[in-house]
Formats: sequence, structure tokens, C-alpha cells
Amino acid sequence: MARKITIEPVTRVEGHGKVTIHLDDEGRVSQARFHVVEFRGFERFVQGRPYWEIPVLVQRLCGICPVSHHLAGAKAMDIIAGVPPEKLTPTAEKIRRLMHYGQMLQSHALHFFHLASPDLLFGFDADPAVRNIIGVAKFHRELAAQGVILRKFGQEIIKATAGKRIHGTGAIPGGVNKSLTPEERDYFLKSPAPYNIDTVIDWAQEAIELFKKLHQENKDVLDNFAAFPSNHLSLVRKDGALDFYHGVLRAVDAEGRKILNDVDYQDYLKYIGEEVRPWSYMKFPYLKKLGKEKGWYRVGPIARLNTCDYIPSPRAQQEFEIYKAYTGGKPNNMTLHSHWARLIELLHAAEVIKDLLNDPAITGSKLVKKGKKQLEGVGLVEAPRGTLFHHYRINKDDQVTMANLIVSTTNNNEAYNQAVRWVADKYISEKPEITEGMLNRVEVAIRAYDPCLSCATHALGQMPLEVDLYDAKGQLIDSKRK
Amino acid sequence: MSKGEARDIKILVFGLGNPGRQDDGLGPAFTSRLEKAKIPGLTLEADYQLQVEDALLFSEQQLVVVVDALRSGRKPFIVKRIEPAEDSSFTTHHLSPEALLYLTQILYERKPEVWLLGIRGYKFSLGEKLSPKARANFDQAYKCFIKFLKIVTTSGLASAIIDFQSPPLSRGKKDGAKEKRTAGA
Repeated sequence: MARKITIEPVTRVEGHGKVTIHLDDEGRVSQARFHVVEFRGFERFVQGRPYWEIPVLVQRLCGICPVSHHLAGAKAMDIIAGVPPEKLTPTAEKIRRLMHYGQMLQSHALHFFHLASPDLLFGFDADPAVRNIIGVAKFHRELAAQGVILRKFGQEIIKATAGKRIHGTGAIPGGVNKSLTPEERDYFLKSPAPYNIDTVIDWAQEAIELFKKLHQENKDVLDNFAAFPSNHLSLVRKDGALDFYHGVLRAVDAEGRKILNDVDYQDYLKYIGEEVRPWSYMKFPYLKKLGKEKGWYRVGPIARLNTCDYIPSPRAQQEFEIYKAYTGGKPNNMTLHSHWARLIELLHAAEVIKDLLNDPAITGSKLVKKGKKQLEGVGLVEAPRGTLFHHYRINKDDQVTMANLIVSTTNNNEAYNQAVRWVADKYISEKPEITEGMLNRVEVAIRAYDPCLSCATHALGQMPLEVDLYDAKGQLIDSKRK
Repeated sequence: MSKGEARDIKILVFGLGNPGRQDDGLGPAFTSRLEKAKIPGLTLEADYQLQVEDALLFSEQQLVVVVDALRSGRKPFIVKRIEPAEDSSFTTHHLSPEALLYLTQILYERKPEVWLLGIRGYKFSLGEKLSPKARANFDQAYKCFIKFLKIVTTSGLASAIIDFQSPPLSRGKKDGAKEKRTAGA
């Protein structure tokens, strides 16, 4: 009997998503899709607002990565204020970097320690009652506690640089409105363990070692689960180094050939198109050069480590070399290696935070520059989940007339669908019944990208997980909710 | 308004919600008002949702009051004691107060007194201002909270919050419905 399985919403991701799997009369997967079921309204919401409000307003898109939106919005407003990124004062640029790398630290820590590690530590088929953060807290207490401290450290960095835990006002068009005081700097550098940056760096390194150990024990699963070739896109620094805050756009194919060769992101519309498909509110971005069918790409940790040439911090570079050696220097297309890549980035973020804290400019007083106003600007950062585009136009009265946002989760849209299809084909096709373990595998594949569907739909929402099963006639046969 | 000092007991007030979603911002608006009142000794936090690191913050308190918007249920507000519980929010980016308290116990072997102050909201779409009805509920909740705070700080007992009750109801059909929380639910 033909069936359709729906997983809605997906757990341990943010926003509201749904997976539907259609089975034909023989029980084979005929279609597998990842949907987003909320409507995006934020781009219209900001129209008519004065441009200088944007860096604060856009944080309301998402409670998970507000700093990324804050900085992407601020970078776009820098252009509009006539102060391109290279012209910011050293203090402004470094305070923003510190804020951003603090965000990267806390977001990556949350994802690995509390959302992904239950699957890796207990296995995909473990009892869901154990396979969660409480299970980690009970059976791997030190690991869970480390995750809490890493999160807290990142949040404290954000609070010190942005002014507040939510809706910070740190970045403003043309600069920042505060730098660190020497006391704030010393708190992060010199507090007793574990609340100092050296402990954070050591724990980030230990997390990589844990992943490598788990990899040795579960090589087949971690190498092959939901693995598929794809293009990869991210910012890189002009010299090819990994950079989360600023640079040029680079894309490579599954073999490592450059598709986009370090282009200026102000011209992103020349290179990237967005396809609308009637069954999802989330658009499908693609590289225009390759077209809609072949031009889809991945963003995020795995993509960033595929596009960059090196990592500009010593311990992360050492780990990067081990990571790259595993694929013989070729791009890594193994979906679950995104956890490995994420942890290398976590270590890099911690190392950069230490360097920034030791930089005298971080306590400087030259905060803002002024320039000649422009009517259009694009801001781009590498958010924890991947490349984040903010594009605005304003009128002569300084009001926003157009906003276009392509968020990380949207950039990965086709990758989710590919991952869901892979899992459906391997684990659900021709099976007599749908088990919790099978459904969790679908989630594991999606969760590897740490999607934030609130961002993708530009609307905050609750995000439980629901699974529905339909036959070929569209009749609901079974339904599960988490 | 009384400016009683919470000097004998460690109290955290945590406002939950998104101020860009109209009445969902009731929680952050509450902590913002307390901040303006400059009541000494209170720890104030606001965020879109509770997160794992808040377990550490909870563990350092004797009393936690989580202020959240209610989508349905009693008006103008409810007060409810939070008991630790494992629930499905463990698998998402946000945690319920019950789940966070459970995590606090597991990780830090501490169990602060935790109460939910749920203020009834009505509008939750994109927008920045509280609706007039939610604002009225907010004002009543705030007045009661200040009275309660005085009792707690005078008695030094976290459990004194039991005296902090919503005024008698003039409930219609909708208002009598079971409450549904927003950010932390």
C-alpha cells in the first residue's frame, strides 16, 4: 500500500519544519521533502523604518542567532552610511569581531554539547528518554557542564560587546557604540578557571578529541550517513583564510574546483538566484552559473572548511590539517563530519577571542566613522549555520524601501532535502513499519546542519516534531508527535 | 511604588519572550520595568527563551520568577509553582522552566524555588507594542509582584510567593480556558 510519512516539527532545531515522505504501492520512497510551514513577513515589517534602526530591529528575527543578524544588518548599514567595512576604526572592527566570535562559540557549543552529542554518545536507536541533554547530564555530567560554561562564556562576551543579552545595540552604522573596559577584558582573560578563555580553549580542544574518538568507534556511520556530493559556499578572507566576519564570496564544487572565485558580495545578485517552489515557504538559492538544478550548494561549518585554504589560528589549523588529510585534501562531503568541522571552528573562535582580548584596540575610544550616504547596501557574515545575506535599499528620507534576506538555513534548503531523501531511501524504503529510530535518523540528517527555521521563515515559532504517514491516496495512516 | 531591597534572599526575575512579537514581549517588558525601578538586590534577565546555561544561573538563586506571556487562560495573570520535569523541550533550542529546573538539579544538585508569572496576552504577530488589554494585565501583575516582593524581602522566605495570587476573575469562556505559555512552553 502506498504511504506518505510526515515528520513535523523536527526537534532540536529552531523554527517550524516538517518532513513528508511518500511511499508508493510497493513501500518504496517516491518522494521525500523538507518543508517550512511558516510564512516569512519580516522583510515587509522593516519597510518604512529608518535605516539606523535596522541593526537592532533585525535581531527580532531570531532568538538563537540575533548577533549574526545584528552584524549583517550593521554591515549593510555601514555601506549605506558611506563607511565600507575596511574603513571602520580598528576598535570598531575588533569589537564587532569579538561579538561575532563570541556568538559562534556559544552557538556551536549549544549544538554539539546539547543537541547533537546525544545522538553521537547514545546512538540513533537509543531510547529517546535518554537520547537528550538530560541523558548527557546524567551519564556524561562533566561534558554537559562544560557545554554550559562554554555557552555562558560566549553569552558573556556578547553581553560585554553588545550591551545586552538580547537586542544589544553594540554595532551601529559606521562603527560601534562601546568598547571593552580593561575590567571587562580582564574578566575574560584572568578569571579563575573555568571562567577564563584558556579553559575555554582547552575544552574546545577536548571536544574535538571526543569527536575523533567517537569517529574511530563509529567510522562507518559518521563517514557514510547522509553523505552526498555538493557545491559549497562561504566567505573567505581575501587571502583565502577562514573568516566569519568579513571577506569575499567563494564557492567550490564537490571536487574542490572553484565556481565562484572570491567575488565581492555587494554583487551577490549577479551570482546567486532564489527559486520558489510551491510546496515550501523557504526559497531554494542556487549559483546562477550552474543553474537551478546543479547550482545548489551547502553552507555552514562543512562548507567553510571546504572553501577556505587555511585557518588563521595555530591549534585550529593543526586540527584542520588532520581533518583535511582525512579526505586527501579534497572537499569533505560527509554530512556528519559537520560536527567535526563545527568543533574545529569552535576552537578557532576561542583562539581568536583570546587574541582579540589581548589586542590593545579592544579598549580603544575611536568607535565611529562617518561617510557619504548611499541608497543601497549589502551586509554579509558567516553566521554559525552559514552564510547570511542582508540587502537593503533606502529612500532619500532614510527609510528602508526594500529588504532581502537570505539566511543560512535557506542556503542549505536543497541540502536538507537531499539528506532527507538519502535517509528515506536507505532506512524507510520497503520497510514493514516506521520505527522511532528510523524517524530519528531523518532528524539526525537535518540536525547536522543545525537549522534555524525561525530565521528561514523570518518568523519566530515553536518547533515540536510531528510525523504523519499517508497512503498513495493522501489518507493519513499514522501520526507521531514529539 | 515600594522600593524594598531584596537583601536577604537571592532572587532572579527572568522575562521570556520576543519584544518584536507584540504581547510575546510581556516578559522582557516586565524585567525592563523592574530595571527602571532600580530595585536593589534583584537579578534581572530577559531572553527569547530559556537556555541550558541558565541552569547555572538558576543554581545560584534561592527564588526564581519566570515571567512569560500566556496565549490563553486566566486574565490578568496566573502564578504557578514550577516543579522539575523531563519534557520534550530537552530536544529543542529552548527549554521549559520545568525542564531547566530538572537540569539544574541534575547538573548542580540545587533546587531553587521557581514560580511562573504568566501574564495573559492577546496579539502575537510582528509588531513592537503591547496590546492595550495586555498592557492592563501587565500593570496589574506588576503591582501584585511589587507587593509580593515586599513580603518576601521582609520575611526572607522564598516560599512567601504562595501569597502572590491573581485577583478574582471575571472570566468569560475564553478566559477560563487552560493557559498556554509562549516562549518557554
